[in-house]
Amino acid sequence: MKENPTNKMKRKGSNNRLMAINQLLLLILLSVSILGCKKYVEVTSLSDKLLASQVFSTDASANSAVAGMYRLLRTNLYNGGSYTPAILTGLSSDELYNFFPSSVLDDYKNNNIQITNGSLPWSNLYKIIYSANAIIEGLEGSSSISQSSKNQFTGEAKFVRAFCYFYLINLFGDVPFLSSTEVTTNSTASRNLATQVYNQIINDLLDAQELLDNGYLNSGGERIRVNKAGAIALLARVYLYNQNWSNAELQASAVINSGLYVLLTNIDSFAIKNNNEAILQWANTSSEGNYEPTQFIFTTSPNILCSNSLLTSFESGDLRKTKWIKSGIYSGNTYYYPYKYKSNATANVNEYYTVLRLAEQYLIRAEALAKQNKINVAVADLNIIRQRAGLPSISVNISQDSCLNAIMHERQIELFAEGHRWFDLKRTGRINVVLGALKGNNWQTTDTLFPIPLSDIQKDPNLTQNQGY
Amino acid sequence: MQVFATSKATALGGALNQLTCLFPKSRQAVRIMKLTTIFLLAACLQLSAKGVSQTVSITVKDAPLLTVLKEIKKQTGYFYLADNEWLQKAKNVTISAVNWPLAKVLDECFKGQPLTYNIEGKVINIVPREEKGKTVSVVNDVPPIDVRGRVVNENGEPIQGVTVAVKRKNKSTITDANGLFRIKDLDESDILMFTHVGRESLEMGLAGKSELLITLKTRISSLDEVKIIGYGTTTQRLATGNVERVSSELIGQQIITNPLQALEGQVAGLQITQANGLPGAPINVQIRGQNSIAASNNPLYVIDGVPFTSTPIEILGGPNGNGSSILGSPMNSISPADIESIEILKDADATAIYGSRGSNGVILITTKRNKSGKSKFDFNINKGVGRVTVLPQMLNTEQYLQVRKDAFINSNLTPTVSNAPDLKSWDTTDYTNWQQWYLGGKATLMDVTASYSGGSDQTTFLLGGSYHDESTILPGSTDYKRGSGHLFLGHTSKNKKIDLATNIFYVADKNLLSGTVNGELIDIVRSIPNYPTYNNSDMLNWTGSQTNRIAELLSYSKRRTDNFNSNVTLKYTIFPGFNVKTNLGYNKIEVVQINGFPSTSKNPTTNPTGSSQFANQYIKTYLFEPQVAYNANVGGGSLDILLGATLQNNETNGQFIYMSNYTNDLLIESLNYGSVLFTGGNTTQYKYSSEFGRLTYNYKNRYLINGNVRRDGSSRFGPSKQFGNFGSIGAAWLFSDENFMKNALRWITYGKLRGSYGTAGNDGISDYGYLSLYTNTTNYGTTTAIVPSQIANPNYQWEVNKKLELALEIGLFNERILLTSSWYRNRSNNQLVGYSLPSITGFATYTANLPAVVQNSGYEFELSTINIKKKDISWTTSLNLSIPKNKLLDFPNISATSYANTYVVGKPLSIIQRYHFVGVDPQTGMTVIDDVNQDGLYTSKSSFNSQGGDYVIAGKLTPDWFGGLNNKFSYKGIEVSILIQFMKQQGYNVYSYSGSAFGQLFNTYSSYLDYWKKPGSQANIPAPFATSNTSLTNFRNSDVGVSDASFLRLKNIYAAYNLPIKWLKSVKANSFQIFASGQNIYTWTRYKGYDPETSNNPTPMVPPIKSFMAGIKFSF
Repeated sequence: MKENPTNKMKRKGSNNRLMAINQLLLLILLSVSILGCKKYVEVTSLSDKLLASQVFSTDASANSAVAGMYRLLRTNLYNGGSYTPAILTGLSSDELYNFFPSSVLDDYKNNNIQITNGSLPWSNLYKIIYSANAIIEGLEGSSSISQSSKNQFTGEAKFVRAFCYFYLINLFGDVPFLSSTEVTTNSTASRNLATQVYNQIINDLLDAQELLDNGYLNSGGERIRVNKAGAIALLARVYLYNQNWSNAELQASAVINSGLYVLLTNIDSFAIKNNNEAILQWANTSSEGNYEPTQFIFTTSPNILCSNSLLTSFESGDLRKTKWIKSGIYSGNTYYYPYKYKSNATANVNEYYTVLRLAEQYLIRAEALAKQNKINVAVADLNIIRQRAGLPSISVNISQDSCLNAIMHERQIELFAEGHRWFDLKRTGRINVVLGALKGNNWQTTDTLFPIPLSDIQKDPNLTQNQGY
Repeated sequence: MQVFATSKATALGGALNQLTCLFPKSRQAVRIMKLTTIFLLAACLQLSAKGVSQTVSITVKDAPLLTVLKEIKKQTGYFYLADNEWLQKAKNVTISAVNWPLAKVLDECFKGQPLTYNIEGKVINIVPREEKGKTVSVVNDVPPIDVRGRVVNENGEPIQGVTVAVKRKNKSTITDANGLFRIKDLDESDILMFTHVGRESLEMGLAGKSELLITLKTRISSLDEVKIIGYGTTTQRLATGNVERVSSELIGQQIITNPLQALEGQVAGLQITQANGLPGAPINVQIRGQNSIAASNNPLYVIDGVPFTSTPIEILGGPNGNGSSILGSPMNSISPADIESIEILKDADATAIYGSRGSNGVILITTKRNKSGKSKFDFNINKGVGRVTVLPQMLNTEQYLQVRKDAFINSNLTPTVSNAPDLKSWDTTDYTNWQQWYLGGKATLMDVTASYSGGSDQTTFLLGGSYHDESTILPGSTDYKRGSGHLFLGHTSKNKKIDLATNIFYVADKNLLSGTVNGELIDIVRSIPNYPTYNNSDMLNWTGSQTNRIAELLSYSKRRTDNFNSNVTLKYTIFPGFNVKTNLGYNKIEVVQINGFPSTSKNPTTNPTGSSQFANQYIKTYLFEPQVAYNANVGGGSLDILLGATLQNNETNGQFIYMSNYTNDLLIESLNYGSVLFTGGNTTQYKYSSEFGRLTYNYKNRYLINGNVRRDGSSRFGPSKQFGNFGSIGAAWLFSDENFMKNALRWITYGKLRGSYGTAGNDGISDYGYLSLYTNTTNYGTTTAIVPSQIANPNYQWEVNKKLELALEIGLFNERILLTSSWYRNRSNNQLVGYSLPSITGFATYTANLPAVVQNSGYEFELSTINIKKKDISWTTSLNLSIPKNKLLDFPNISATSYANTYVVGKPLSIIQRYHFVGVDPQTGMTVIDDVNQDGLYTSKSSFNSQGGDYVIAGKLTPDWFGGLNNKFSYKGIEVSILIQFMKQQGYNVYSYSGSAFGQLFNTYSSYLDYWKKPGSQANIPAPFATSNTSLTNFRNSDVGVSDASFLRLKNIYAAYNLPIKWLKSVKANSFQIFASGQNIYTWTRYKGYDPETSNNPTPMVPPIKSFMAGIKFSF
C-alpha cells in the first residue's frame, strides 16, 4: 500500500515522540535504580539522637563522651543502688557492718553473696569499660580531632579502663578482658587469667602516662579528671599488688616527688574539693552530694557502721579516730560511723568523692621499700603518715616483718572505708586467718572472690562461675 | 487483501522502533520474541480508539469511501471491517454533514453503493449489498482458508486473552490486546470455540467465512469479580494466590466505628479482636496467627497504594490513656463509607510482592471511585442506639459486708474505722451498683453519608462526605465524632494512551471521654457498694482512701486525629500491552491530645491544683512507585510482566508536655498558666526502597504460573544488612476446563488446584536499632556529658516468613456451590527480638535475630451456595471456617533467655502459664496448688525450661477454630442478611480479674459467693482475708482464671426494603431503601466474664456494645 508524504511525516513525528517518551522512561528507570541503591536507606544523622560517628567528629563532642565516661563511673559505681566498692568490700572484710538487716548487705557482711545479688558491681564496671572502649575506638577512627585532644582523651579512657579492670580482677578473679565494643565476640567472651588482665592494665596505664598531661585539663584545673600523676599512682598500686616492688617504689616516688601534691595538715579536709592531697576525685554537680556519707552518717538511726575490729585497732591518741570517726546514740547505745566525709547533704556540697590521694602513695612506697628490705626509708615514709595522725614515730630498728606489719596496720587505719582493706587482706594472704577468726562458720576460703552474676553466666555460654557459688 | 485502518508498515515500523528504543542493546530480543504478528495486529489499536461523540461533521467532494470511513473513525471511534477488494469497488462519496448522527452519515455514504453496512457494537461491518448478516463470507471459497477476526464485549470493546480453539482439532490461539486473532488453514466446516474467563463461551460454525466479529457476553459469576492485589488486579478464577475480598456492601450493613470491625467473622484466617467497646479502641488484627515473638504482628495496610501506619500514634495513650498502654487504632481515622473494598492477602503468592513487609499478610483498602461516568447522587442517613452486651453480677452491699466480716475473722483482725470504714463508718444499708452506674448507659449513634459521582466517557469523578457521631455507654460527657471528605478524579485521554486517577480523602475525628478511663474496668468493679459518694454536707466525699467516681468524671481526655491521604496514578500506554505507570502517594496522620485533670477531680484534702497533659504526633509518608507493565501473547498463552520500584519515606514527629499547678481549672487547656512538669519528644525517619517484579503466564486459562521477586532496602537495618530478597512462586491448574472433566463430570463447572511457596519478611521493629547511639546526661563538672545509650548491632536482618499453601477450589452447577479449601504452613524464623545480652557487653539488650522458629499452619474453608435463585426470590449462604494452629517450633537455649518463663517449645506462643488449682483445703480455707516440682513450695515460675517452678500450661489465647455464617435473602424489594460469628477459644475469666484482693476493701463478683466459710466446709473459692494473703494470690494465679470463652454470636441482622422501581421513576430516583440493622444482637456463651471477645485480656475491659439502627438510603 502506498503511503502519502503526510503519513510519513506523521509517522516520523510520532516516532520522535516515542523516542522522547522512551528516553524519559529509561531516565526514570535509571534514576530509580540509582536512587534505590544504598544511599537512600542510609542514616547519616538523626535530629534527636547522637550517632557514635558524630560524637567523634569534633573535639568538643568527644570531650563530652569522656565526661560521660566519668559520669558513668561516678553515678554507676559510687552512687546509690549498687552501693560502692568501698562499702561492699568493707562489709565483706572487717571494717564495716550494716546495722539494720538487709537482704543485699547481709550477703556481703556474712560472706554469703547470692549469685542473684543485684548490687554486684560487675555490670556497672563493664558498662564503663564499654564507654572507655568506645572512646578509644572512636578516637582511633577519627580524622577530625586534634592530636592533643586525641592524646588526652585516649589517655583518660585507658586509665578508666585499667581502673575498672583493676576492680574486676580483685573482686571477681579471672574476668573476660574486652578491649572493643564488638558485641558478637564480647557476648560470648570467656574469662582471661588475672595475670593476663594485669598485663593489659599495666600497658594501659603506661600508655596513659605517655598520653596524659601533668595538669588537670578540660576540667578547669579541678582534680576530677585523671592527669599523668593519676595514671602513675594507679600503676604504683598495680605494681604493688603484683609484688613488683621496685616498680611500685619507682611509680610511687614519681607521684610523691612530682611536687604537685602535699599531705593535708588538717585531716578534716579529707574530701574537700581539689584539696592538695587529692590526686583524683569524682565531681558532683551543685544538685548532687556524695553517696557514701549518706550511708555512714546517721541523723536519726544508724546505718552502716565501723566494726569493732576497726575501732579497737586504733592506737590511743590517733587523730584519725577522733576526726574520721564519729558516734551517735540510738536506743541508748552508742554507735560509731566513718566520718571522713563530713557532709551527707545532697546539694551544694564542697566535698568530692576521693579516689586517689597522696597518703596511699607513701604507704605503697613504704611497703615496696620494706619488701626490698630498705627498712630505714620504709619507716621514714610510714612515720610521715603517723606523724600527721599525731602518733609517735616508729623506730627504724625493726625487723622486716615488724615493719611490714606496721605498714599493714597503718594501711588499715589510714585507708579505712576507702575500699583497700579487703584487697590488702587478700593480696597479703592473711584473709583466711583474719576473717576466719572473725566470721566463724560464715567464712569459706572461696569467699575471697565475689560470684559472677547468674544472668551473665546464663547468657554467655563461655562464662564460668567462681568456686564456691 | 484485507484492510485494517492503518498501514501495517507503519504499525510494524512503529512497534519495532519502540522496541529498539526500549531495549537498545537487545535487538535480538525482538527477534526472539517473534512478535511481528502481534505488532502487526497491535497497530490496529487505532481501530479501537473510542470516540467521544456519535455525531459526525464531514464535508468532502468526490472522496474515496475509505477516506470518509477513516474520518468517521477518528470522530466517533467506530471502526470498520471490510474486504479491500470490495472497498475498491466502492464509488466515491460527496457529503456535507454538520453534526449528523452517525447512521445518517453512513446511510448517505452507502447510498447507491454496491455495498451496505451494519453496526455491531462499535464496529461498522461493510458487506456487499446482496449479503445480509453480521459476518462476511469470502467470495473465494477454496479451502483451506485463513480466518481472522475480532472478539469484543457488549460495548464493542476488544477482549484480550480469549481462547479461540478449533473444535475436534488441535489448533488454537488467543486474542491480543485489540481482541484480534488469526487462525490459518481451516476447513469451511470447522467450528470455532471462543472461551474466556468471565464470559460466556460461544461456538460458531465457519460456514466459509474468513472474517468474524464475535461478541462475548459477560458471565455473571462471583469467580470473575475483580479483586485488587498488590500492583494489579485478578479474579478468583485466575488467582494463583489467596486473596479475599470484602465489598463495601458488607461493610455498609454493619454498625461500626472502625472499618476493621466489619471484617469480623467475614474472612477465613483473619482474626479481629476489639480491645474494648469504646470508640477508637485498638483492634487487634491477625492474619493466620502470630508469626513474630517480639516484632510487629500487624499486617501491612495499604490504602489506595499508600502504606498506612498499623501502630497507634498516640503518645499519651488510649482514648484517655494517662500514659496507659491501651492505644487507639489508626484505622479509626478512615471512614467506612469511603471504602469500596478491602482485600486480604494471605499466602506467599499474594504477599511476596510486598517483600519485607508482607510477613503478616497485607490488607489493601480501596476507596470508592467512579467508573461509569454516569451522574448519580447517593445519600444515606441512619440513627441508632447501643447498650452493653453483658455484665457479670457484682456483690451487693449485704453480700459484700458479709465477705468483709468473714475476712476480718479469717485474718484474725478487728475491724476499725481506719481499716474497715465500710463496716464501721459508712452507712451499711447504702447501695450503689457501680458497674451498672458506669456501664449501664445508652449510646447513641448517627451516620450521614452523601456522594455525588458523574463525568463523561473520558473524565469521571466522585465527591463524597460522611459524618459519624456516637456517644458511649459511659457516664459523663463522652462523645466520638468523625467527618470525612473524599474526592476521586479519573481521566483518560482521547486516544486512551494516558490514564490518570487521583484519590484524596481527609478524615478528622474527635474523641472525648470523661473520667480517667482507658477501657479497663478494674477500678470500677472494685468500688465499694456502700461508699458514700457525698458526705453529710452534700459535698463529694473522699474518705477511706477511695477515689470518688463522680469527681473522677470531671477529668477528661480529648483526642483529635487528622488523616489526609492522597495518591495520583498516571499511566501512559506506549503501545497496547505495554505501559508505564507512576504512583505518587502522600499520607499524613496527626493526633493532638489533651488530658485534663481539673482540681475538682482530685481529693481536696491534698490541696490539689489542676494539671494537664498535652501531646501531638504526626506520621508523614511519601511514596513514589514507577512501574512498567508488559503484556503479550507468547507461545499460545498470555504473558504479563510487571517491573517496578518503590521509594518510601516516613517521618514521625511527636512532642508531649505535662503541666501542673493550674490555679484556674478553666485554663488547664492552656500552656500559659501552669508550670511544666516534664517534656519529651521523638523524631524518627524511616526510609525504604525496593525493586520488584512479577511474571504471570496464563496458558489457555487452564494453566497459570505466577512468580514474584522483590529486593527491599530499609533504613531499619545496618549498612551491610539493609537489603533483602524475597520471592514467591504460585501455580494454578483449572482442571475443570480439561476435556476429561468436561466429558465425565460436567456438573463440576469450576475446579482449580493451586499452590504457592515463597518468602515474605518483617521489618516491624523500631528505627535505628543497629546504630551505636549516645544520649545526653547530667554534666560532669562543667562539661556536657554524653553516654552510650545503644550498642551497635549491624548484623541483624529481616525476619523471614516462609509460606506454603495448597488449595482446592470447586464450583458445582455453574458455581451455585463454591467451595474453597486451603491448607497453609507459615514458618517464621530469624525472629527479631530485644535479645538479652550478658552485661559484660555493657548493655542488657539489643535488637537481634533469634534462631527461633514459629509455625502457623491450618486449614481454611469457604463455602458459598446459591440456594434459591428465581426472579423475585433469592437466598444465598456463605460460610467460612478457620482451624489455625500456632506452634513454637524451635528455640535454641530458651532456658537462658528472658523467654524461659513465657514460651515452651512445641506449644503455641499464646500459652498461659499458671498454677494448677487443686481445690480449697476444707480445714483451713486455703488454696491448694499442685506442687509440680514436689519441693513443698509454690514457686511462681514455669515448670518448663528448667525454671524449677510450679506453673503449668493453663490454656492458650489463640482460638481452636473460628468463622462466620452469612445468609442473605431477598424477596422482591425486601432484603435480609444475617451474619453469625463463632469462635472456639479460651480466655481469662472473672477469677483472673480480681481474685487476690478478695476480702479487702474492694468489691468483687457474685461468683465468689461460694467461698469457704468454716472448717470442714467444701468450697470452690478460698477464704477471704482482710489483708493480702498468698492463698488468694495463688488462687488468682491459678488455672481457675482461665476457662472456655467460646461463643456463637448473632453478629448482625440487616433488613431493607427497596421501593419498587416503577414508583421511583416518577421522581427520577434510581433506588430508595429503608433499612434497619442490629449489631452484636445476641451471644451464646458459657464464658464467666464480660464479653468473650475481650477475654484475651487478664483485666476486665469495657465490653463491645450491642446496637440497633435504622435509616434510609437513596440514589438518583
